[in-house]
Amino acid sequence: MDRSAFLTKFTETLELEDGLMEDTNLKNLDDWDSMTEMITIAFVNEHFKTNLKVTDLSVVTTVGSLMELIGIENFDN
Amino acid sequence: MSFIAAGSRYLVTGATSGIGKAVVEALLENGATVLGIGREADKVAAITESYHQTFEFHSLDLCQLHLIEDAISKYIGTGKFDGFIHCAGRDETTPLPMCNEENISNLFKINVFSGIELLRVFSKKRFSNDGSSIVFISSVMAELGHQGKIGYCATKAAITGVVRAAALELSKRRIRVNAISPAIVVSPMSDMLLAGTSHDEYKEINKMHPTGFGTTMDVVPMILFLLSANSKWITGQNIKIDGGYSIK
Ligand SMILES: NC(=O)c1ccc[n+]([C@@H]2O[C@H](COP(=O)([O-])OP(=O)(O)OC[C@H]3O[C@@H](n4cnc5c(N)ncnc54)[C@H](OP(=O)(O)O)[C@@H]3O)[C@@H](O)[C@H]2O)c1
Repeated sequence: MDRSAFLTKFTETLELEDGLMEDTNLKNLDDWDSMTEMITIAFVNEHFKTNLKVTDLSVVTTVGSLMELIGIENFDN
Repeated sequence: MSFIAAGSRYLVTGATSGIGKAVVEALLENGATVLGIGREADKVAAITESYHQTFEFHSLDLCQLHLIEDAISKYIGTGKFDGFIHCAGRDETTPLPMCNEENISNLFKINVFSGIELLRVFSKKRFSNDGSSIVFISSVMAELGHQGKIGYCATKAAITGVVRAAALELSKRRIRVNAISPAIVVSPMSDMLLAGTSHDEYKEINKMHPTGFGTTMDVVPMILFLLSANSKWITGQNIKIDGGYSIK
């Protein structure tokens, strides 16, 4: 997936007012809680056909680190 | 005491794993004959070898609804069924923002629509004996909610509706239709679910089961009872087997 399309879709899915950037720290978001974690995992698994679990998010801080977890090779540019 | 008459014949879906596989093993140990359906034959290779005279496995993706009748008619030459247990099913976390027609209907396809098609085929006079018994596996999630489980809860609630209506339709032939609703039973499905929880969440979920998580052997005896003539006055019911999960 295109990086910017990913950021836009992810921002829309989490219904955030400010667009996510690769260096946005997800865990500092006001709304970040167990439900947002669940939505994030379902969003990633749906779009990248991965099989991630909520516990895999323990290593994630920024959006960029989430993209690394997904696999940078899955992003076009 | 065995509830199952030796020589009786059963159709079991989900035969390759968890609850379905445990049902198959219990039926075979009691001298029944079983047609098991699943997708991965190697998961039941040992059973096929030990029970080559009484167990047959048919590999089928049950989401291919149009293939179901053909699969069952091929087997029926040797005699009609006395029972059907629908254990095939899938769990998926679908939080509301991620719900879409495709993922929700895929869950419905395996958890509900395949069951309705199997029921339609099974209940034909040429496939089942009068007095047969059918058991669906619903879940405590049919009546309780859980965040992220809109799709799963909806399918499990749908099953209880199917069971009640079918029980009435089939009562003329004394065919009974019931559901059981387990809470967490240790199986490959619940292992996947629990693998995604933190240590604290795991402890929390475990605590919600006053007598701990169940094992397949905590639900199989009830299924055998519902299949047997000992339960011949029970139909259209949804029986919770949940270690106390739903009473808290
Ligand atoms: N375990 C629990 O805690 C629990 C609690 C409440 C209710 N339940 C319900 O109990 C039932 C059995 O669960 P389980 O724990 O035994 O699950 P499981 O170990 O994951 O087994 C699921 C079975 O369904 C079969 N299956 C899935 N999709 C299929 C498809 N498209 N076509 C054909 N077969 C398919 C699988 O076959 P293959 O492996 O061959 O693909 C497997 O045999 C499910 O309906 C589940 O919702 C389970």
